[in-house]
Amino acid sequence: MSGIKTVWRTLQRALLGVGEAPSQHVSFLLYQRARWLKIALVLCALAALVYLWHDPIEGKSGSTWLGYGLGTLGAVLIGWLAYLGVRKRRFQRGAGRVQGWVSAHVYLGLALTVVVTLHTGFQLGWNVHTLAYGLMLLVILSGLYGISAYAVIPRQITANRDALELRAMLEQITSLNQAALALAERIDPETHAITARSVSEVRIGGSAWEQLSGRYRRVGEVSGLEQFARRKRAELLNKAVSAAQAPARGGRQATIAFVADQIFAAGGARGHDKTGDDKATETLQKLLQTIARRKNLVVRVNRDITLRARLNVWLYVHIPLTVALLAALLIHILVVFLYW
Amino acid sequence: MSQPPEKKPDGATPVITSLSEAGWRLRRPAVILAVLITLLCLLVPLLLRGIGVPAAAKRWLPSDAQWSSGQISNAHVQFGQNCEVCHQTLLVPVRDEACLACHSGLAQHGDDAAALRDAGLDTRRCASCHFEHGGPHAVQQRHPALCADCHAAPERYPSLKDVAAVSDFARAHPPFKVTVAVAGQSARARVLLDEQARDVSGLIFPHDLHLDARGIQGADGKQVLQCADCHRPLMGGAGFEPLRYSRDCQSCHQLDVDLNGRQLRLPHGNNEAARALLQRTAALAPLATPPPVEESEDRRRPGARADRGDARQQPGAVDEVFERRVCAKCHSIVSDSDGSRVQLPQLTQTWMPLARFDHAPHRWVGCDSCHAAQQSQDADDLLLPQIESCRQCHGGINSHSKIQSTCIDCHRFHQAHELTSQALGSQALGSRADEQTQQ
Repeated sequence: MSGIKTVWRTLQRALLGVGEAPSQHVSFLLYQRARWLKIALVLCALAALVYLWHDPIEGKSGSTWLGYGLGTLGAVLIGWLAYLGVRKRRFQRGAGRVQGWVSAHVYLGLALTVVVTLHTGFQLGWNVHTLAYGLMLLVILSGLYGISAYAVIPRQITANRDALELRAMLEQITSLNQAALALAERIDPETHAITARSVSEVRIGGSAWEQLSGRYRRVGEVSGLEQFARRKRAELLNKAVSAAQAPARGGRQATIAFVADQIFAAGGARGHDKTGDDKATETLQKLLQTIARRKNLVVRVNRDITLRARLNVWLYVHIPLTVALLAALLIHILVVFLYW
Repeated sequence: MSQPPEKKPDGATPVITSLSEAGWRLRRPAVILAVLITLLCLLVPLLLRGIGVPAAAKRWLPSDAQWSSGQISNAHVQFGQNCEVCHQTLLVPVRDEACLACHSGLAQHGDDAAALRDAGLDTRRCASCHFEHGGPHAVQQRHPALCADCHAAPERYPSLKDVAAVSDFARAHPPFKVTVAVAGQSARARVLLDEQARDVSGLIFPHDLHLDARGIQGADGKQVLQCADCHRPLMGGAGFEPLRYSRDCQSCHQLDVDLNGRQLRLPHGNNEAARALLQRTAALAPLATPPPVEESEDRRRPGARADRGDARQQPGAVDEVFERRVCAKCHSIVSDSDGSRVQLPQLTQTWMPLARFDHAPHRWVGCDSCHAAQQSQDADDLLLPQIESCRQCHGGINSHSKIQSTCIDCHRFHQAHELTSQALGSQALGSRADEQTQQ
């Protein structure tokens, strides 16, 4: 018994997240000490027991009295589960709390797999009845993905954002773009042209598949811009060095002059003396740093987009299939009475 | 989630930061799926049913074939693709008339209409016990509750007050009862099958003599008889042909007698003809006994050369043939003022008329496993096995160690001889039907 309690507490801690105090966030899976989990388990156990005890003459199927009972229960549950879409939009009004509704939605939805499967009596075939059953299973499967997504991804989003909202990150990218442009202007027109092109081509987000896979096309011409910038800096450095290596004058004078010139050039290369070229190098350095920061931000923004896409993708399966399921369910019930 | 695409900070092309911005929708796919399903799974099938579509086309069209909730039973597959054969009216459960269109004049459970009404069997539908869409053999269920619903508690029904409770062959089935011939009356009696049960057919026949392992003197010499030499299976193997003197007995037992020195072969099965022949012969002058043939090796019948005297002076000579010399060896004789005659044997074709026992599946079991003929000295012995013998191999429907057997393996429900479905229906209508016919 104590072993079970330990497992339960570990589970609670994992799902509750950081901290154990009840005033902290409680996962919707453990709402009210997992009340709906218990209710769903009891429901499944009851259904299974009655199913095992029932021994109808024609064999177990959806058309025995138990089949009709379980089918009615399943249909009512499906209808109530679909109603969550309405209830969650009327957040303040309505009975109970939306968190409780979500918890019940999850566990009663999972219980449906047991209840409806017993209702079928395991008689499946290529017909409209099994179509409804199959749609229901797909809806539940997508919901299972949703539960695991909701349990894992929000924490990852928070960690990735690191106290910055998406909008704030986008604004930062904007200001970094402008800073880069301003810096490039100060160097030379070629750099400015390339920087402007990179700014206009930076890609944030992408197609649905890019979003879900997390593999985006290269973030603009950043790498091209980087290469260009590094090449530029190398050029300028070489110019400074070669400028320092002036044509040799004759004799000792030339040597002193040469050495003096070297020292001068070395000092210039370190940026102590702000000549035009030295300024360009320093600006280039800043440009490179700005570009690197922007790239970092774009990566974070794209990761945020990916995480949110993965958090919501299942809804594009869950909800249209629920509507399809409701249609198939109504037809399934109607057909039973059409060909009674 | 459905926000407009985020404007790019520089006001250039908008960035796509979510699935909905990438064009994914919730509402439109939902509506499309719902409309598609309604069309293909409800409206088109209804339309096709209305206009009537041949069964061959149904396989490729979205027809009501997709409304079937399970496989049609083997017997009904021949028309099973045409749902309207049984489901004649929408929203109305399948009516008995649909079944009786082919299974017309189906026998009821018994001939006592009042008893059927007591048990509620007159209002049960075919579909109460016969289920479709449940697999190849669903239409005839083997669940014992079909019968045990009533027969497990017979005290609830006045017509079952003398019937024992039955629910399971292994655990709750009464000992067998048999319908046997009784000496001195033409009506048969239903008695418990036990060691004392006797079936008085009027024949005298010792099985043990005839089945002697050492053999008997047959027509062509020594012969060891087997069961099948006399008990010939019917074509189809369910039962046996009735025993006939001409085929099964005559080869060894000719009805030879001599009267007044004349050798007679009496006709079998006709008392009057035999008596007439005997009387004619008895009225003739006796012939001298022929001299013996010296070299003959024929077995000499005891008394063959005895002087029989003159039958004309022996008034009981003819009766003596019946009562002692010939007929009485195998038959019981009735003597009254008209003289002696052979009593017609009451041979029983089946001792359990309310059950069906098929010998064909039991062909591989030796006859003596169930029938103790080797030890029987008297034809009155009823050589049927009691229920314990059957239970050696047959168990209840849920048995794991014996052959799973249920009620309908041996019994039938539709076993009335007179009362049919239509008859019961018209009886239920009663005087209303009479009025209609009179109009």
